[in-house]
Amino acid sequence: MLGADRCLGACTVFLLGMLGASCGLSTAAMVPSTESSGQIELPALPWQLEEELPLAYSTRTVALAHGTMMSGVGTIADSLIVMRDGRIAYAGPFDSERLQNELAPDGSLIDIRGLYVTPGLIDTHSHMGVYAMPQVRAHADGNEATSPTTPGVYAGDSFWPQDPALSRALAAGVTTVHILPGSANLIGGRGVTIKLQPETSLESMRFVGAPYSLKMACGENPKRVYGQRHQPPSTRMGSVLWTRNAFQDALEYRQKFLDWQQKHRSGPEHVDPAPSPPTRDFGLETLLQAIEGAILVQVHCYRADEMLRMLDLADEFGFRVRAFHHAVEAYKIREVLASRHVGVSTWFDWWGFKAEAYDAIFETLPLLSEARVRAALHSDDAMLVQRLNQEVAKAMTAGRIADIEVDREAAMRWITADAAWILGIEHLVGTLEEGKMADVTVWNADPFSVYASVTQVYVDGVLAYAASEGRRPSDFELGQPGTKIQ
Amino acid sequence: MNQPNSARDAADRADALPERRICPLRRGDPWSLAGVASRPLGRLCLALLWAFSIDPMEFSTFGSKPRAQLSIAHAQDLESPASSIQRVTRSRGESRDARREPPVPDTSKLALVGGTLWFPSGEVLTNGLVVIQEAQISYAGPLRPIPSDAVVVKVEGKVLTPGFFALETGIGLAEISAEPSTRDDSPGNDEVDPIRAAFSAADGFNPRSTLIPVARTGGITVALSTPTGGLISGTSALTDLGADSARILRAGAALHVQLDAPGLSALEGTFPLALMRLREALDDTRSHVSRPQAYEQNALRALRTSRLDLLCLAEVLGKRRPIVARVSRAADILRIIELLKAYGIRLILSGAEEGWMVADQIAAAEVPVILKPLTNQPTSFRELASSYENAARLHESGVRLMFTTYDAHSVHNLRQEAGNAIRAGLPREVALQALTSTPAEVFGLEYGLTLQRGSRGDVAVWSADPFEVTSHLEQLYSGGQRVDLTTRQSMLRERYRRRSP
Repeated sequence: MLGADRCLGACTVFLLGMLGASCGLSTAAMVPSTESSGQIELPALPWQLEEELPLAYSTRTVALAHGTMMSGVGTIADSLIVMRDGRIAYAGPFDSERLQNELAPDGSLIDIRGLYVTPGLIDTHSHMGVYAMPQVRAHADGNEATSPTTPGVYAGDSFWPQDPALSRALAAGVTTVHILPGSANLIGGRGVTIKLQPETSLESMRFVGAPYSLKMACGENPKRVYGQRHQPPSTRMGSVLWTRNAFQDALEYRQKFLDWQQKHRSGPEHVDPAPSPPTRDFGLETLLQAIEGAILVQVHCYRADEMLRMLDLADEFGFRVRAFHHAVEAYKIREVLASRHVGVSTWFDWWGFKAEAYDAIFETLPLLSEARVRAALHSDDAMLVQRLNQEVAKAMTAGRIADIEVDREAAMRWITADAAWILGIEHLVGTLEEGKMADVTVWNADPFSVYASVTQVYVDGVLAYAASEGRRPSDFELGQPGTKIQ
Repeated sequence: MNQPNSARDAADRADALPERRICPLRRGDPWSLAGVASRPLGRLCLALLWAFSIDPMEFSTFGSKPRAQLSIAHAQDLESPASSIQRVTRSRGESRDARREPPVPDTSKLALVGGTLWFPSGEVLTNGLVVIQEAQISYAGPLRPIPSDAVVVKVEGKVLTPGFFALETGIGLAEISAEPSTRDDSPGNDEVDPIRAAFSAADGFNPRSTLIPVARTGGITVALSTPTGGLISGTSALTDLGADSARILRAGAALHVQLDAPGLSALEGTFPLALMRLREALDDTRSHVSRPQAYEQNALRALRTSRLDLLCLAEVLGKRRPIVARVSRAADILRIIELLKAYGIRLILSGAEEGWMVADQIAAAEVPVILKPLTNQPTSFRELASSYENAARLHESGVRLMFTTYDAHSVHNLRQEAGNAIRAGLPREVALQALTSTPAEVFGLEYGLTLQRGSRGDVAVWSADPFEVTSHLEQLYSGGQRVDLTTRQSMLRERYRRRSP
């Protein structure tokens, strides 16, 4: 129950893997390699990490039979989903022969006739855990607002797994969440993708196999935060300059290492002792990881003109913007975004809360899908994350009223498959397909209805939430008024 | 308003908004006792009224006005002392300001034919007929012969409800939340005394705000535009969002008090401090009410509360104007009920996140509650027991409910809030009442929002169940006039549908 039957061995390996990864370095990589097969192997540069692969789990087989399956690629009225070892073993039309073959002797068969089943929902933009509930001063950990560029900080280091918002999101059918630093800084730091099974540490919630992200911001927030203090940047032009300076510093830092690497190549022969490497700068290394594509650049940006400016800046320094977040004016430049394969993560109808959000329209998501831009509906809010299904239904409806072609599958992808693409995990989650992670949400009605509630959520094939048992309160909530004893 | 906007964007949470420009304290509602009494001739008139033992408040309430005035603005353009004299010298039935534009006579009849009528009473009638005449519903019931002079609109298969009533909203008072220069929902300066009962939202209401057309797309036809901040924020304005131009129906509709966590935080105080200041202001008012002449002659003890605030609070003490108190914690709710009961004040709770825990006491005190159904988090230590089931449980105990989004830009989502209350167990007709008839009764909206004969001619035509997220508003009528549903957003959409770079 609640993750307890997850294979312990896998978790141990998982943790060991994290120790190196969480601080963005591998000590092993710092050791200069010795000669092998007659060639001198260059030492790996410290920020160049190997790709992490998700671990294999051992879980009991669970089959969900006869539900209406909405997978983002089509609807199957009488479906079968078999989950085994954390993965989906089968998902498709109900097939009794298949069920017999797939269901192990210790497996359980759950009849979900009359219910709906979707992939676990994905929120591409959240500050849960870093701006935790209750919003006391002690819980404001989302902005390292002491310098406009803090690429070295990591949202995972602020993350509090006891945030009461987390279990509420899970109970709303969300299984994967991208946790980001705030937008006070031009370069706010590294973000992390997590799964929502209740755990006591970030490391055991982290989505292994998901790339980290680099959070950047343009527009009003950084210039307001620093401008008020009479510090740079206080204008948009200042913001662009300070962002460029940071990336230039990263390129120069890389050059220092390349020079050292060059010297080292001849080192064993000509230099004694070997030259010591330059002083590490974890922030600049994070920027280099972004430039080299190892981590995905996610940019908070509202206005169309600023997004285009940011794309120019990305070209200048050779990084790719994976997605613009909030991006309420993305509809104005949707063809550019489509041709450059830049995604968009936005709301349905948030508007007018600041000047750069004044031109938000309610048909942005349908217009983006029509133009073949990968688009996601995000929350950025611990209340909104609890009704992603309702928000996409509203956006789909707004599109249809305006005669923009948008179907239920496209709307579902805004919170599943396309959201997964924005986070670089589209090969692991986001649809119900054989081999993908068994993150599955079961609903008591059509999820595009305001009356639909979640009945069950599976994370990696393990039951993480069941409406019949109720939401698991976080440690904070125990003994508080209104919290049921569990 | 404070809470949703601060949650909108992570940087906003870490940093306060820019410093606000200092604004002069504005004049109170000119119709109100405070407004009239603030002018020399007005004071003379008041003295005359007292001399003849006439309650001056009789002249300030909209309810006593003739029906034909529904289509003209009130509480506006009454600046000159002469108009005050006119008002007291005319008889009640014909008190109209000669300077104002005459109301446009509206003799048109509109017949909405074949729709499914959702009455707030709970009755549902398929294949119905609604006739609107002279801004009021003249018939709502089963199909019958349609008046020959009526404009007929077929609405077969559509769901018809009254227009919705948005409460605790900054609509008309704020354009861009983070830009103080676009806001008129507070004094704009944190240094101003947190007690500002005489601050009147009606003075800041902008009928041309771009937010109003967006609100209409959610079926909203009536709003309580509400000031923010401080301990006593001031009075709200009852507004008619209208078909093409919005207008104030009544200034000074309610007095708003902030006692929840964001309110106390803005006050940089605690709940006991807030109650202490509130008690002091009410005691000052009692002293003033008992001997107004002595106060004017400086023969009364020194009062901390300002003169205009005293005049406004006097109406609250006389139960002529309710207090809407934003309060969250169960214990705080009981405390404010007790306090205001002692002063004989009519109370409406707002927020009441932990209300369900003391639902029976709220019901026994006959206090209605305004709440946001989509609230279920321990956002502060004053709302640890916040629950989606709040509305349903309060209703089960017999508490009258009204709904809000607590913001200005998203009031079109009021119906989604109601849908979520239904999902959490509230009966559908109670959710409909919470958006229509209940606030209309509680805030004295003339003619009400019942969809029945005699009700305001505000009718929303929905593609299906209005609380469902896949339904949409197809037509809206305000006072029998078809509402243009074009918004600034829809214009942007059309511009960029045609041309994309």
